[in-house]
Amino acid sequence: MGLKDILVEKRSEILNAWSDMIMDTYPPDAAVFYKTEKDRFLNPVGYIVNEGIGHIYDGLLNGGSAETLAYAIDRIIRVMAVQDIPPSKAVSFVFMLKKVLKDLIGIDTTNNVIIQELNDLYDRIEETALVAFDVYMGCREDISRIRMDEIRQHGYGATMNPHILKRRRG
Amino acid sequence: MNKPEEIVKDIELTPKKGDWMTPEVEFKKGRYCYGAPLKHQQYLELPNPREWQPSDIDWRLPDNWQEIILKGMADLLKKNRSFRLFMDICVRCGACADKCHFFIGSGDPKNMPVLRAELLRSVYRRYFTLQGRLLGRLAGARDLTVEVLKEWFYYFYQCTECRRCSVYCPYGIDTCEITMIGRELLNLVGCNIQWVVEPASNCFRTGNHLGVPPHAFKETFDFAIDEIKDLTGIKIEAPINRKGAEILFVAPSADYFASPHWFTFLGYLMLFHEIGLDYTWSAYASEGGNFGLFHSMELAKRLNAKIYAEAKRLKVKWILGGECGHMWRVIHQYMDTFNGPADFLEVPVSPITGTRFEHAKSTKMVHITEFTADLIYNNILNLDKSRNDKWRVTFHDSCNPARSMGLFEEPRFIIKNTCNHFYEMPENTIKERTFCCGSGAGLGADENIEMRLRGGLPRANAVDYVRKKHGVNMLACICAIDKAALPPLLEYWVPGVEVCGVHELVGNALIMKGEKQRETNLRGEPLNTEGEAEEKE
Repeated sequence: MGLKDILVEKRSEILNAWSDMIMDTYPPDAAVFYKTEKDRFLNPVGYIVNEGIGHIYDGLLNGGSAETLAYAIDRIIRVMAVQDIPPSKAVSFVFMLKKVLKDLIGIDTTNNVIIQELNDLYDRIEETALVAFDVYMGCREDISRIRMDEIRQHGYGATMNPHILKRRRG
Repeated sequence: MNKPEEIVKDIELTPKKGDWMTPEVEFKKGRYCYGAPLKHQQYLELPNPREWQPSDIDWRLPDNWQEIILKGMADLLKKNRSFRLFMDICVRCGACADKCHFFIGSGDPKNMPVLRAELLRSVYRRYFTLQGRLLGRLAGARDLTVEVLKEWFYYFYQCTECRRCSVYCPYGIDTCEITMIGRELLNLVGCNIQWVVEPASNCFRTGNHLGVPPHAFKETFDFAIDEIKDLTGIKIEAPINRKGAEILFVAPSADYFASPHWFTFLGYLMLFHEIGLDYTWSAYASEGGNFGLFHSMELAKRLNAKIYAEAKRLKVKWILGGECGHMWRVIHQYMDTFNGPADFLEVPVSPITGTRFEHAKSTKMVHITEFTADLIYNNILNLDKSRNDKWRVTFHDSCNPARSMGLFEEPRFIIKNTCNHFYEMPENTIKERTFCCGSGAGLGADENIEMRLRGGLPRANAVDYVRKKHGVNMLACICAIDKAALPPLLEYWVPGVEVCGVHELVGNALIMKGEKQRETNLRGEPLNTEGEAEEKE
């Protein structure tokens, strides 16, 4: 049984453990809610994280499209970029997969082929974390730009109507 | 120099331990609103005025600040029976816990409405109940310390007073009122925010939150009249301060000054012209909103009084109100005890259809969507839905019209009669269960952007769903704060979805008598956009 077979077989077990590990970085009351509320509209954070890590996992295993992977990372990081979470913690969710794999897959350490496959997978996970960092920075830049736009067009939540501006300027 | 392992130790992946009773807040940029400027505090004659920021270590509170707060609490307990009731009856069942958009988006337990209320309740227990006085922490009671006060400020300005949690409370506790009381107490020692105090002060000075003086108010109307002439070929009239008109129309000031509100404003003007309404605007009551509500009951009352004073001065029969959010909370739930009954006015009757708005017989004030829905229902308007074909529309129930006055069907009825493509968001995110934009109750400040984006996640998430499922590209709403807050929110979470008012859609669809062939919608975009709104597979 190759590494990929093991990872396919244990997909849901691994994803559950990965998800739990991410949720446990939140305060306990929030973690319980994020883990247990299954309605995607009442618990968007839980839904986005679980949907996203599923895409990332499948992408790492099957070499899915770069767009899908980037989309999944963006969805998760976009949430964390506005939460009370430092960048190190935000991107750490990717590395958590390594820990989950170490704990769960129980591979034969004498099988050099599998060891090599696992090392390759770890490399891909680390590359994914680098992408996550880029995405994090992109999200923070988005926030900054959105704020700057508001400041430029200030007026108690009111972006000044461009028609009035145009006419006033003649 | 730190060793690598010491640096790595700082990367903490597990949450901090500690119980909720220990107050601990950190004012980080992007997550709190700035303090109110001194001149506006002074203009409103607020207590303990000073230049101050929440991030200051020393808040320069008056020496007897605890005495002031506790006396204020005693006064409010005596004055508002609801406050004492809400302090006493909560059994901490947790039904409200996961209903707050700030908790859902942030994961901060003190954003659970029950816990936010406990911040105040614990002090109530300590000073106003026997068990609290005797048992202290054991009874969930806390001393009123500076840290507790800072925590109040932090979390009471992380509540948009949207009342979603109240919908789920089996005891009917209005958690919004707990926030209002919390803010009122903070105001007694001069802790308030720019985004609330400055608009309220502006409203006293010029008649509206944005500080638009009467001549600029008139000027914007002239712009609008020109713009409608360009669009339709019709020169409409927009009467201001006209004594003896049948109806006074009051809208939030953003409608005539901001974008995308402006297009709703054009929609109002076109509609009123088309039906030949005998009405007037007022340069004095030039604000439907009431930022006083986010400050204190007294300030809310003072601002609300302006509308009725103007109705009396102009000798109108009744008042029609525009697309505003908290304005309707004030009108439906507080106006009667603030300044009512408005017995110098008449029970509103539509001069066009003869419909008598019985539900408004006390406040004498009708919501514009009730009025327009009635016109459509009676086949008064000639509408061409295809002019809105560019848009695949969903509707965001603005919190206050939805939860404070149960206004669910009228805006939907209008949208369905003015648009061919309307799609609802999921049932548990609309109507009385609607999710807030995350920027209400004075929190829409640019400096508070991260908090707003967190709070707006549940709303944006539901919009994202209908965008993917139905190709929705327009979010309609009936609140000026929504129209300001939702565009940046969607830009971050769901790019490609725009925001409009319901009367912008009316203005687009309305076929006016004698109008020229329309080439653009109210936004100046070409009407002929065939194919843009084809059914998504």
